[in-house]
Amino acid sequence: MNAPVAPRVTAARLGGVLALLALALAGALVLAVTIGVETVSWRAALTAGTPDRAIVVQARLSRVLLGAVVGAALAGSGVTFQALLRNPLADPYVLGVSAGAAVGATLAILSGAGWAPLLPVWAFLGALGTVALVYAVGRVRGRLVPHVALLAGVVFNAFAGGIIVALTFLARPGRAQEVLLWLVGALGSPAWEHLLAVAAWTALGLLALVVLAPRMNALALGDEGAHSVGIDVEATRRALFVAASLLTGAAVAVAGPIGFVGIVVPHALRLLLGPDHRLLLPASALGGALFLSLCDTAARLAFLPLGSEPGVGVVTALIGGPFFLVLLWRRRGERLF
Amino acid sequence: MATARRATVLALLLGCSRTRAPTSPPLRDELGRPVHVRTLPAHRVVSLAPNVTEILFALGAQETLVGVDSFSDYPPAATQVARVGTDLEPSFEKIVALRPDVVVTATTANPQQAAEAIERMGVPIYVTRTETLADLEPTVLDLGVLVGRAQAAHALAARIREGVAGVRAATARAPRVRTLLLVWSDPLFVVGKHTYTSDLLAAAGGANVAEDAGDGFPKYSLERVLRHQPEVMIVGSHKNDDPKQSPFAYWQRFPELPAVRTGRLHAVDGDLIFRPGPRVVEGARALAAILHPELAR
Repeated sequence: MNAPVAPRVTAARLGGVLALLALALAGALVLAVTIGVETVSWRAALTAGTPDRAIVVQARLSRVLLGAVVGAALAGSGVTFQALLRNPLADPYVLGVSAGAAVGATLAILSGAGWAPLLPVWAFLGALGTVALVYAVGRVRGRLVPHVALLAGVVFNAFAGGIIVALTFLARPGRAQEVLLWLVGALGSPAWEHLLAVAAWTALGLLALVVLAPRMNALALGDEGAHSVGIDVEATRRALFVAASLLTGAAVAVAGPIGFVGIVVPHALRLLLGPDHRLLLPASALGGALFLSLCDTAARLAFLPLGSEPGVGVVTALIGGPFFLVLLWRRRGERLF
Repeated sequence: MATARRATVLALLLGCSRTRAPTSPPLRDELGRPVHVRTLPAHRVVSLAPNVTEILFALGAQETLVGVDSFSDYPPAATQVARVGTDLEPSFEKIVALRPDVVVTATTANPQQAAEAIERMGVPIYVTRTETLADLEPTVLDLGVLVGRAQAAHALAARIREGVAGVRAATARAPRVRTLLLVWSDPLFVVGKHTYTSDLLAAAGGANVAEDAGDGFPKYSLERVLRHQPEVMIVGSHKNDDPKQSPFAYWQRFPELPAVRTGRLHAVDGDLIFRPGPRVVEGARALAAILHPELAR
């Protein structure tokens, strides 16, 4: 990996960058809460029991916070998969991990076991299963070959899509519709306990990754390099895979598979901040929250005349698709696979 | 996609049937398209919509039904008729094999591409359009002509008209109750304006708060529900619903809504209000009983 020359990560720089991102995120959240289908009287919104307050708190704030949590989870897992596969195109969506999580969650919903706070667990199991498969296929003679793993993920992605469609055919009509609508990648207004559950899962996963960030840096040196600086490569990989699966599962369980957040955000921040994961990881989590909040606001603004809120997955795909292609284009001189 | 492709292949294989000369004078369906029914009145009919099936049974034309869609489950005898797949993806092969004189579709149940794909195989398609309550009477009369039961159709149309008028008269003096009709809670889909369901609600003494959603059964914003403060919320239940799952569980977190606060959340048999057929009278009565319990004797 051609590491760009980046300043060293000092406590001051870390604090400064994260504070800046947190501030931007706070701004985006405030903006998101002020924009919606209905015009709200802010004076009335301060009074409990008014429709205005319900619109702001129940309909908007819960959705906005959910978007921030999901964005953080997706960007965090994106950074991790990129470090694991040493490839900037890796992300939970492209690798099929989101689709695997969706299969897990779909099975839970269709079987009636889909109690919302535990849905992330099902999605996590689906994500973990996908990762295990991708990893098993990607290991050639005991060594992880990133492009084989990446291709295995791409193939599994399509396969998982087929599984889900097949499952919905077997389901009772109402349930199938529920799954299909959820698969579009949408942010609804969740109940607070669901939001709390997802936030807790996400916090757990991100915390684990922050602790593992120095080891992610070592992985960039290659297997031998990491080994030579005293890292147990296998154990590190396993821990990272589990943490990234946890994050993907949490995000997919509540919002369906939303694409491209895991690529766009880490890559943009890597260009700005350099490849050191001690900074890149927490910055990506905040950046992911910021990016998805802005996408959601854009989605709601764009469809304002229609009087309904579209899926945020549409907007992330509209931004992420071209971004992905530009990324490929700019790297066309390099050996990708 | 796959079915469309299959239909195209079939159409090519059966190309000869496309050139078959019409055996009866052209009839026009409810979209104004000419339909070359093989014999008029039709003796072999395939219905691809549950409301059409119900109307044909109510006309006493069940003998002509040789095939129905898989959602046609009323009256119970309808389930004994050969199944030809779902409203959205009917099986073209099964339909052709039944050699129908005409296949009847409904704009509210069947995608137009499916109808046209069947037509390309040389099977006449009669499209009914019953989008509002006012459309129901012409549909009943048209189907009566199609199966040669015009007299029964006039009687049925009168029975529906008088039944709904009776409900309308009973609720005429009662105050309008601001109501939200739910198709689906999360994501939110509602009954919009210019729909037979909204018309039934009006006859039953309700006012549809989601008229600003537009026509049909559109997606709707939660913010608007919270703004409109419906006094009553009604969902159409279905026998495939999970009995363990309350259709209103989602709404319990919004005690700001009068309907939630006062417990005026009701389920109505969805087939009575979401099928523009003979049972809309029962649907109107069920809605009136919910909206105006004080009028029930």
